[in-house]
Amino acid sequence: MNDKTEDCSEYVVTANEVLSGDTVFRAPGRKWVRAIDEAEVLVCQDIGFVALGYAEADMRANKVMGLYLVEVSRQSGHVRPVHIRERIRALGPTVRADLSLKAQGFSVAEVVDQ
Amino acid sequence: MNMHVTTGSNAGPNIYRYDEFDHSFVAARVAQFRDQVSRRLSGAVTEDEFKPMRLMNGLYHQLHAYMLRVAVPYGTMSAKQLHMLAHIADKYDRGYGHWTTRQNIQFNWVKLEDTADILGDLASVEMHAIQTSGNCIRNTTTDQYAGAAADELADPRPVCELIRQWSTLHPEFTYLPRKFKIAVTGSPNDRAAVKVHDIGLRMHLNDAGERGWEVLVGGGQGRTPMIAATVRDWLPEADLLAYLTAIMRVYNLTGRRDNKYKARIKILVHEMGSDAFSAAVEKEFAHAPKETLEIEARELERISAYFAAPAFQTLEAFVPGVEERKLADRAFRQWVTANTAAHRQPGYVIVNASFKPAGGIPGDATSEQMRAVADLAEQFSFGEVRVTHAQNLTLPHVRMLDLIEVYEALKEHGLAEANIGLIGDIIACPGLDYCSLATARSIPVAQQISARFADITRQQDVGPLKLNISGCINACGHHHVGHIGILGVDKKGREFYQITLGGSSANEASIGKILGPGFGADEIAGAVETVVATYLNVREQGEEFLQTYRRLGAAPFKEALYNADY
Repeated sequence: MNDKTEDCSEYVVTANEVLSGDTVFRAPGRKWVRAIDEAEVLVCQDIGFVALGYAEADMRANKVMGLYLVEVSRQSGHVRPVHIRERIRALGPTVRADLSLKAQGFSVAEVVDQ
Repeated sequence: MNMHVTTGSNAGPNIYRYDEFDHSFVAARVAQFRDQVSRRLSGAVTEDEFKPMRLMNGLYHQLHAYMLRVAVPYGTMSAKQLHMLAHIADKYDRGYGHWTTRQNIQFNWVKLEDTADILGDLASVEMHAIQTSGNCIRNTTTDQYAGAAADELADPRPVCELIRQWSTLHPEFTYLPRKFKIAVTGSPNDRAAVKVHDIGLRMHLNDAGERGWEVLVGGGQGRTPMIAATVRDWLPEADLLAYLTAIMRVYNLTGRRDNKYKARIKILVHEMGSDAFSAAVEKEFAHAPKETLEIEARELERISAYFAAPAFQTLEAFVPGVEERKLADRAFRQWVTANTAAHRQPGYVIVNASFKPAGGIPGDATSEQMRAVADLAEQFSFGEVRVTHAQNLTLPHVRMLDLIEVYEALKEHGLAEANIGLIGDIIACPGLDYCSLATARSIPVAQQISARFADITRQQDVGPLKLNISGCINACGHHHVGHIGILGVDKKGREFYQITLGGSSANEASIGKILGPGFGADEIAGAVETVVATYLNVREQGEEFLQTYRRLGAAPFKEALYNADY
């Protein structure tokens, strides 16, 4: 096996809630949460795929749709997607942060810059 | 929808009104969608099964939430309908909507469980979300000044309505190889971008004063931008639907379905050659059962009756109060210059409400702004409003006598930025802030640029300049036809922006050319400043940006841009 401290990235499981369409993240206890900071961070993609498999039960149960893994890193105590698209998806539009609960407490620069 | 409408009463604005068939059709569609949503929520249908159903009712799922795109046929709506859009923004969304380049509106934050109720509310004011998505004939667009413009040959909206009725749920054309867009102009000065549509229709008059149509096919933007070819210089109006049917049949039978990126009709016309394509259409047209498709003059007359000119008063064109205010108030003078257009009726004027505040989000409208414009339409514009493809609203029929009052009201609601057709009037797609297809943000770039050019005197000195921004190659922000176009791309997880110059969607349409390497998100506004400064340095007396570019080419702009330090 490879040395996981060097080649393993961190992931969270994400989806959209069927009823609201909102972006949600898989949290401990098989819960779905809107705040990415509350998501369960999974070390290594293999572990992520296992978690994704478990989460599919909620897709079959019609709670969520569009499941996938998002690569994240930890910055100043926060969980942040690596790619800008996923950061905007997680935290809300950079142009109407006032309307996005997810963006409360974060500056646009935190969403955009990595 | 029903081809056999009956003319209703003269109450309300002179726009198309539903008959009994239309009402029952739309009501049935709402009931059907309510059942589909119910089955989705119960789990009876999966998302994969549900997706085509919701898309046929304008319901997308975007980056953050469901998005509902509502049709505003050819951009014309009543004050009552605009009030309903404001109600929907407040009740079901987050208090705002977004005008689109297809003269529609989209709501960014709707909930699935509410969508059937929203469609029900829309139906109560004769609106729906059909033909705003999917591989069908989409909302037909036209000149936002239709029926009002001084330079128009005739109002194109009766033909737009005819096309809408013909195309809605047309059994042959509901599952086309790709989406299909038609634009119509009744003016010799194209404000409807007919040369960059799948089909463009341009009205002409012959020596006898009869109306006919020039038919252009195969224009478009997206990842393969093309200018449409004229396949018929003159088509008698009676043959219009038969000829459109022939075009659609050739496309439906021979258009590619194996690759969505090569499935638009522009690729077919390009690969066949416009002469061969035209010959195929003529052959199909010759065999068409024209007796069932020929437009009877009385049918078009009946539809035209809905769009009869409002009861204009006989007024003096010269209003001393307006002229005195123009002399005394530079801001008002600038607004009149940029945001009004000549009306066909003396004493009236076309007024544009700018949804492009300096540093603001292009095309976003709060419910309060929607209500303000709706109230102005009721009071001053025969109850009529237009959505423009440049993401603004137009009050088509304002008395010159009322101009100052309308100006003051628009100003009060932040809708009197004097920038229509200027660099601050930026078309921008939602970009990565909302769109699941986007690769870069568009809106913040527009905000940076419009903030830099906030000085209206400077904008008016620069002169007519269309700046369009797209957040991905799909080109929803029409960057290919911007005099200055900006395309956002993703480069290893960072946003980069390519500049194109020389695009136009007007009579002499052209596709902009890429200048060179892109610029970072923090550089692009400065790069645009350099382009504009270069133009100001090299322009000749009275020369507009596009004319200067066409005279000199890209060289001076390239030299200035790539030698500059950002």
